[in-house]
Amino acid sequence: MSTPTVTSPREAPAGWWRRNRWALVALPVALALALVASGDRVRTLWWEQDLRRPTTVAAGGTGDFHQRVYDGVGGTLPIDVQVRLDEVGDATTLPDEMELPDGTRAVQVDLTLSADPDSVISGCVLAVRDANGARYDYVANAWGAFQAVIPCVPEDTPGPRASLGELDDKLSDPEEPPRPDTWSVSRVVVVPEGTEVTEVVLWWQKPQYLLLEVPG
Amino acid sequence: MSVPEPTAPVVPATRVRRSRGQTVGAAAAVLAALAVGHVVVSAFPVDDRVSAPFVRPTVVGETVELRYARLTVGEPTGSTVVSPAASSLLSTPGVFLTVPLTIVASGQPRLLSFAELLGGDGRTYTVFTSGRSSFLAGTAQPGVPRYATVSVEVPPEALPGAHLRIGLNQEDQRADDLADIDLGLTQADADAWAAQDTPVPVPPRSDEPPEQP
Repeated sequence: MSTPTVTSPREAPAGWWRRNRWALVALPVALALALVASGDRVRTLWWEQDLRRPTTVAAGGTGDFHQRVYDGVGGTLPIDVQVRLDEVGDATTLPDEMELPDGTRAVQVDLTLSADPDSVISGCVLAVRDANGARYDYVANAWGAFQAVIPCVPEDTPGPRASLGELDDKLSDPEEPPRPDTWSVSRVVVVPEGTEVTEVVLWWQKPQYLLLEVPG
Repeated sequence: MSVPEPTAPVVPATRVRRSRGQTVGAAAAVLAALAVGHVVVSAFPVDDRVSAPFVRPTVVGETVELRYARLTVGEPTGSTVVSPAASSLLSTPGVFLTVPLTIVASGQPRLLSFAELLGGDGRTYTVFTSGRSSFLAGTAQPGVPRYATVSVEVPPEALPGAHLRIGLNQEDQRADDLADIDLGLTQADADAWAAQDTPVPVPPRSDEPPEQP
């Protein structure tokens, strides 16, 4: 400071790029953070609102499906099932009192599933899809018929349901036999006439789902 | 402020010192940019247009193609008394307007749940008023026609020129298709229905076409 001969190595004032180099380095990071921060609702409002992550099972194969689903009281439950699509075809016998609307046909979906008898797998939804991707859901109470409310478990031995806390003892039936290790279900889905089913889909909570290809 | 002593070395400033005039000028430029930005944002009603529904106009008897369904509106009718499927007769000092709809969902099962009447008197009549007006189409399987009826209780002066609006989400119609049906009603319809006391049926939703009277 006091030596008159010492001069700065930089004679000219530093350039704009040099003066702002740290800000320039931080800028892409800040932009990325801004995008992430403003996208926090994309997951709940979009990603989790549709079937997006398939576990695809080729025709004739057995699918292994794992997912942790929300139990509705702050925790999660493991879904851990093996599913095989046995057959998809015209329903030979309709469920009791089902009357098909004009222009529709009944498709029967036969599945064989395996899971730990103590595991909770009650919240499943079954549907079929055609080659255009249109989805036709299994509806338990429709067209005059009452089918099984939960499509993926046996009607008489559905196994445990998600816990409701202290109510569990009052709601559970100690006499009810446990769900078998492996069981088969047969459900009827109503689709428009001329619909060719190419996929069977089964899910517990979106966006994950099990996609069972129908033999072509 | 301070004047350098004559003996002091001249150390080049690493930072560029700006004059007061430059500072004031820069501040004024920033304020001017903010003001221009505000004008640009508020001069165009972008927010409203971005979130506005895509209104699909149609008339009675025509089929309108929506993102989530194909909708056909039948002939409206009205009376001072309606006979809902699940309750006793309802009567009104105004008019109960009923409109039959045919909904063919597309892509996946759809629950059409929004309906409102834009009255010819400039008022909007909601359909969810403690159950006196109703639109309960239920979830429709794609490709399987669903027959449902809208029933709205309105004063007779709302009928001439009234438009019915049908949408997917009861809470939120923004940025989605919304059918706007010109019901083609006249003052003569309003007068006739206001004097009518034969109950008009509101059949429950069904996948079978309603019986023609």
